[in-house]
Amino acid sequence: MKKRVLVSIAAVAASVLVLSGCAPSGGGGSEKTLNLLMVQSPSTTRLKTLVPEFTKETGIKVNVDLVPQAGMQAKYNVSLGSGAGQYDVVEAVSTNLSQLTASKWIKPLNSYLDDKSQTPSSYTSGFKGGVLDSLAIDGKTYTIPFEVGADMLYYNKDMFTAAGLDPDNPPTTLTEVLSAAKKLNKPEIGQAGFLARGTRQGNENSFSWIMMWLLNGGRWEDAKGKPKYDVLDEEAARKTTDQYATLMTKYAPSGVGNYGFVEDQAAMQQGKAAMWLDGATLGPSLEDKSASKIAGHVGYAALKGEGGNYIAGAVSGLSVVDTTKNDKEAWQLVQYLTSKKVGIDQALAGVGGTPGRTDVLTDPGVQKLYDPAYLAALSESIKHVNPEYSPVIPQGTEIRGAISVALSKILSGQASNEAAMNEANQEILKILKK
Amino acid sequence: MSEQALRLRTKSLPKQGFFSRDNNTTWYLLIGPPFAILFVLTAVPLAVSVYMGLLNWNLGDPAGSTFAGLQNFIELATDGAFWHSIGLTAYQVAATVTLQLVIGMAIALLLSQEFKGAQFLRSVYLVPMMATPVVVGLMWRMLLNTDSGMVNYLLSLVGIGKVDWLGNSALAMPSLIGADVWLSTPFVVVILLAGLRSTPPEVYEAAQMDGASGFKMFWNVTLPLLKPMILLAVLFRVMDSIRRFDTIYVMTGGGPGNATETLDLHAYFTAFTYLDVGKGAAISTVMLLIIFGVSFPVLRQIQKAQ
Repeated sequence: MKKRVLVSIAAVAASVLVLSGCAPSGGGGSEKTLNLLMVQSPSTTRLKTLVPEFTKETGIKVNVDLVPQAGMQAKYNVSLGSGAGQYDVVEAVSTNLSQLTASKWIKPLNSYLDDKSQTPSSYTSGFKGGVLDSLAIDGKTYTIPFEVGADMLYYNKDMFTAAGLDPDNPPTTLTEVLSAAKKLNKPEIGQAGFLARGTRQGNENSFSWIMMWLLNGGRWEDAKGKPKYDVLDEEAARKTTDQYATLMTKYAPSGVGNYGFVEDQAAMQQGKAAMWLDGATLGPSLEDKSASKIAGHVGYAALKGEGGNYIAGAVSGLSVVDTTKNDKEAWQLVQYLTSKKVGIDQALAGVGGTPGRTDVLTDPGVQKLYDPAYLAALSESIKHVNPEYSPVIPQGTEIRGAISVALSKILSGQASNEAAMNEANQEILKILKK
Repeated sequence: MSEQALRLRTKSLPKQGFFSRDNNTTWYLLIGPPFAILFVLTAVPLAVSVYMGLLNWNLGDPAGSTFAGLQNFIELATDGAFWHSIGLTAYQVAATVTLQLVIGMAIALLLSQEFKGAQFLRSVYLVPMMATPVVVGLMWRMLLNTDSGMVNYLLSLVGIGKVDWLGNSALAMPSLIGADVWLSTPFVVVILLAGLRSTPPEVYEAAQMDGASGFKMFWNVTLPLLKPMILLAVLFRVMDSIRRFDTIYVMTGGGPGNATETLDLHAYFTAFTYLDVGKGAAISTVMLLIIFGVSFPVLRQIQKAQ
């Protein structure tokens, strides 16, 4: 019997040894290797191609993982939430910056930014217009942007003309957008009057709703400026929901409940919609002649809203993971990928949306590339940008989720505007109590 | 195997040494490694998952986790979204499995006959099974696209206007059920066809001599003989349908609203979108218990039928 037990233990031990042999080795060489995680997009795909240049300059190897948007949250949770130290640098976007900082998954970068031996002043001076300050949380900078956006209204000039609207005098308020959408909506010729995000996947529709809510004066705070998140029964939220529901159920294409920004962009490019409210980073693709039928016929408008900072400022940046053991090298990589040189390359390649650095926009080559009307609308929007458009608390994603489900119910006719938003408000209260 | 052959085979095995039939050490060494691998890969994660269900643990909370006992389960008992997802799961499972059984039986009966091209058809109907569920989900999402989907195009040829298959709360779940019926009915056919083809023809001949034919033959002879196979198909399909995730996630992501947020998706959103891994694990534990609860009676029926 003893022999059997011993043999069994030996067998299990041998298996464990064999299994452990399958685990990746910890390296052992002196050469540093960094792991970088980003959301898959044309911009990050381009960044990936520039990484070998960084390795050539510094000798630091970089493994790049590009994950589709829909799977990014799960990837964060598994790789950063477990503290496994799988990544050294990760992409942070406006929608999850609050969660990443509240969870202490990424570290403040001020010590690197202030250290002249690690960061030349020419690097920081390229971020003008308070971009870094606007991204700061509690006075600390956690991410360096490689793309800065602000929502704006894109419109098809030809459709404006055909509908008797002046393409040089586009709508600048949501009320005007509603009125124009009504005139532009022509389902009989397959033309929708308006487009925004409708799908609840990735909480996308809540982004469109928040854009409108900010314009209507909505903020994540009460009258005294204290944080408040159960705001869906307030006037700004009610007005926004009615406008969103009207635009999306009356003047958007059928099936818009399944549209994310990818479907919206395709519909605009194919000339199936007259107006589209979304982030500025998505604009340049409308002028891409190889993909867009409306290239050269796109108008851009910065919308006006109530109060200050009424524009949702979508920012994509790079952050150093809190648990990294290669922080100096990680900072070198962040600096490289957010440098002027890389920014210009991104802009000239036409994949980078709007560069995070303002000094990139002053480059003569880049200036030639962008439509002056787009740059004008972007500059106007950025003046009123609000990077904290998502609740800056760990439950922020869950709150956005509750709004997304409510909007999706409204679009699919599962619930009335009021019932859906009241239910979501109760859900938010429940989330906050946890 | 004849007695002589068995004797010869027994003779050929060494009585002593590593490969001896009586050497237990050999068996332990052979069974040990796969057992250890299975244990590490299944029992350990399962135990950890059940334990996680007892924790108050939000990944986004730097404070980490605390032991909460049955708190997550008590919260689930009063959580409307949880019960909504259980109801949707029950609807999805019942409709999918019923349709798969009915259609699967019809196809199996057809393919059990010998006719020209039967051999070819028996291979072709397996095609959906070869596709990965994510690809199937994407394919159906494209087919059912309101503006450019093939389904709406074909309907437009007979004068039917655009149908929002995945965006309409009343149509989204039936669309998902349809996609899974397409994907998994071949699996039911394989099992039922194997049962039909292994039934001795003498049984049918005897029944025919007794005057049975057509539906009577099917109801009184084929169906009772196929009972173990039908139950086996039900067992596999019910277990698979309860934990169906990939096609639903790709096609609707639980929407519109929460019209297709089944238990599996609800657990996923809770754990991996809202980071409440404790509650997510508790939902998974409940799901496991449901699968056990549904499977054991069917298993017992299979044993009885055999």
